[in-house]
Amino acid sequence: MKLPSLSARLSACATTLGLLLAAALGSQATAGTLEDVKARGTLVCGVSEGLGGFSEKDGQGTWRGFDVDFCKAVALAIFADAGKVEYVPLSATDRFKALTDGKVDLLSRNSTWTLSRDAGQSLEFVGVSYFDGQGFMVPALYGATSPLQLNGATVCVVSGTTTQDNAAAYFERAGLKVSFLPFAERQDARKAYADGKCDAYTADRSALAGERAELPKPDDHIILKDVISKEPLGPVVRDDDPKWVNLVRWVLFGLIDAEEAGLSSASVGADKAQDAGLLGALSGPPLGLPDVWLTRVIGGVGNIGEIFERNLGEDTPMQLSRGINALWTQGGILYAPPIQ
Amino acid sequence: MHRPFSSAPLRPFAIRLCAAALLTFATLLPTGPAAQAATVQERQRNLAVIRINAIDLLAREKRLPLPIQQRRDVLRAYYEEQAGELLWLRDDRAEALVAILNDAGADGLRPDDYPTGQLLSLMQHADPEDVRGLALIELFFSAAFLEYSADLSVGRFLPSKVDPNFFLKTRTFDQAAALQAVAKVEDLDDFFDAAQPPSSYYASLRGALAQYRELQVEGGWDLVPLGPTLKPGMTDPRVAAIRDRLATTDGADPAPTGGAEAYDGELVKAVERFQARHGLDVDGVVGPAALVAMNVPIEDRIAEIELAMERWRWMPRDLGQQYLMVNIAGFELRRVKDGQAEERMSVVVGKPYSRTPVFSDQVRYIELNPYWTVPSGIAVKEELGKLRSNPGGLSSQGFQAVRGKDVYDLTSINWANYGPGNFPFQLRQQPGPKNALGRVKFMFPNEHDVYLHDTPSRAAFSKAERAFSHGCIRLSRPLELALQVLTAGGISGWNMDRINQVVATQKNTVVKLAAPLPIHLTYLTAWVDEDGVNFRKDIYNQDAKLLAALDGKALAW
Repeated sequence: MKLPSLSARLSACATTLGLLLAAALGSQATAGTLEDVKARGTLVCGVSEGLGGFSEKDGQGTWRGFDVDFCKAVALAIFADAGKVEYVPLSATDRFKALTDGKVDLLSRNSTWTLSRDAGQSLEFVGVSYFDGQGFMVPALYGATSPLQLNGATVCVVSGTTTQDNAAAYFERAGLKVSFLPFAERQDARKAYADGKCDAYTADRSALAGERAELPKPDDHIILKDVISKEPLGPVVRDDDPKWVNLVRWVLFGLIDAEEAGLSSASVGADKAQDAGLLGALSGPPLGLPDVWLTRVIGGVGNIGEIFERNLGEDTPMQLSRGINALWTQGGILYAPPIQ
Repeated sequence: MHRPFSSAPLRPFAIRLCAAALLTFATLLPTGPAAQAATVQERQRNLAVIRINAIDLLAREKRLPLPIQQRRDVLRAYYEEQAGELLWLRDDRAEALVAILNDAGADGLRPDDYPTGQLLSLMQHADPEDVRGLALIELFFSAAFLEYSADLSVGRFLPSKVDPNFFLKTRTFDQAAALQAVAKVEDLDDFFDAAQPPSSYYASLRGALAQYRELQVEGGWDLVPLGPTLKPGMTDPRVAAIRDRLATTDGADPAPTGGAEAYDGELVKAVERFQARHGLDVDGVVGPAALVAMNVPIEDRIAEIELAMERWRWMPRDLGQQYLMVNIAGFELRRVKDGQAEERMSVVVGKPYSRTPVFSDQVRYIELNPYWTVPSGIAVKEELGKLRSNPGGLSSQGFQAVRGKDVYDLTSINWANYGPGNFPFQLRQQPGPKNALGRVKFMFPNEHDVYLHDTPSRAAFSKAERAFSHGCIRLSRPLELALQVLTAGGISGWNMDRINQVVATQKNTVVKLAAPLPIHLTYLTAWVDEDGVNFRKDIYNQDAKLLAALDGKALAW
């Protein structure tokens, strides 16, 4: 449903019966996102315009990445086909409007879950797929182990987000003086850093990992362990379709619960086939999905751990360790309610 | 600005600059005496040119790489001095420094924290024609040297950043002095030996660390299965496992004659040694506490040693010729003279939620037969009810009310007229056998209102873990310590008889020390004494916090 039409209707029917009427009209106006997606035959998924490890086009023009795999997971759940996704690259400014305007069914685009985005707009974050946080990259030669050693530094930053404010507040609290060199575009910030115009580069740590991979000699740069802000990233949908919210939410939880239960792309076709089948049969009907949905999803893209390692892990250019993104049973904080 | 670390392909390396200094060092030195003389001269000239470039960089370059920029003034001051010759490129010292950084683990520091790979790479890719680039390399090495020296000497963290309960004075590292000193030493090791915390406590922990690392390489120790409590004389299949475990650290005989499952003889002695080292009841009984302590992995023990070493870096370098030292985590006080512990006694320290703070100060006076003044918050909150219902009860325990200079009997006041916001009295307990502070207190006036004192409740001293107080430190043998402190504080004419006589009078008596006695309140979960390496529980959770800080994690976790 589109926001303007709803509000127009609401104001038109602002009588005693109006609200009830509006609700009835609302549900009539659309059959529901799942039905729309099925009728269309593809899932329209909003992704980043190009962010290493999260969503980017490879040499063959195929979309790849952590966020892309989540789109695939939802498509697998609905269509049993990871290919039935239409990817819509969205800029940071356009992303939420594209979702509320109905241009995409789902936004899987490294978006931080905050109060104003959740409660202030007609958006619903279904959960956290990646716990990100702002950090710092510095030349390894500096021998720095903490941002608290960056007194007097010039710091490259991409403007237009909360990143610079976060860092400024952090350094002010610590009583350190740093100056910022802001850039509108990431490429320019990276180049300035690579050219030695800055001593450090601050961004979300996942983004820094991507930036480091783009540098001429990635190993000459380190990402400090300290995290100075909470950036929980997760898929977003419109908040007017609880069925759709539930479906997308439980696909995410399913990916996490699968890892905890030992369900992997390999095991769902082998020793864990029965477990996956049982969980799928239990959860399929209330979600409006076929009983085999979980087996298809995990068989297609793997569990959350596999998705992480494939796109972001130590063996990828991103070289990220799971850290707090490990399961809660393995020292991380990744935790999903159980499929019961 | 030239950034040699960002590109610079490896170029054929000309020997003319300082083959001895860069890369291959001594092996490439020209052999003939004539060639040698010419090269030496040329080398000196080149070193001088590099130095001039270093000075110029420091004086004129607008932006220098951060580690150099942050130390610009002190570096410039050093290199501009007449004697301020190059520190690293002048001979094989750059390589020696890298070797020392790579061995940072020996001091409980982390080699990965220092950019050794990058520094070596700078050297390997150095262009001998590029004197400015070489100057920058020299400065990078100086910056890394200062960073490491400060870490080694005063620690990586400001203590209060790790835990607000630390109140040690922040010690600063004298970078100028370090540069001067390292320029003078023949051998870099001489400098770093002197930069370490000088106390024998640190040195013994350093030795223990090496020993435990060796044990770790050999595989550490295996778990002993939990099970029923094992007493001397019993037999148990786990005895072999206990024997193996204690053979590693407590001198148990790994292959004794006699029954393999019999728990007796020298193995009991080894268990008792283990118990003593871990602050457990020394009874030879292997219960859950002993087993859990045995099963702590060697990695964790190594971490505890490293954290204790870090804490020693925060301590004053000069502890004093005589001093008192309380280890909160060890529930113990020591009186030390000329490096020897002449007295060790059990103490009770603050509960985890009313922690005894960590700081250093000086005992300035002792008070025999002290008054105890109830803190005003507690007086209203906890005592007002009793004052109203039964003031005689408190009176009989020696309490009285003080207002200005006047002292009142509690029963003479109508307490119904007073309450929160209107309580112009101080409640204090007179000296005597029921006084909460006992017979003596030791004052080192401080912002935390923490002091040492006697106590009428002795039961806590029989417990192995003694964190029960509101923050003050209760002594198990206070009168003995009083005499020792008076002696150490330069007050003559006191002996036990005189102390006992004064105590018997129940009269408040203040004795000021002629020479204030240093006191250090510490929190150490690992230390070395004649029993070996001692480990204690992290009662205040401060090890966990320090470790998290070192790992760059948010402290709240």
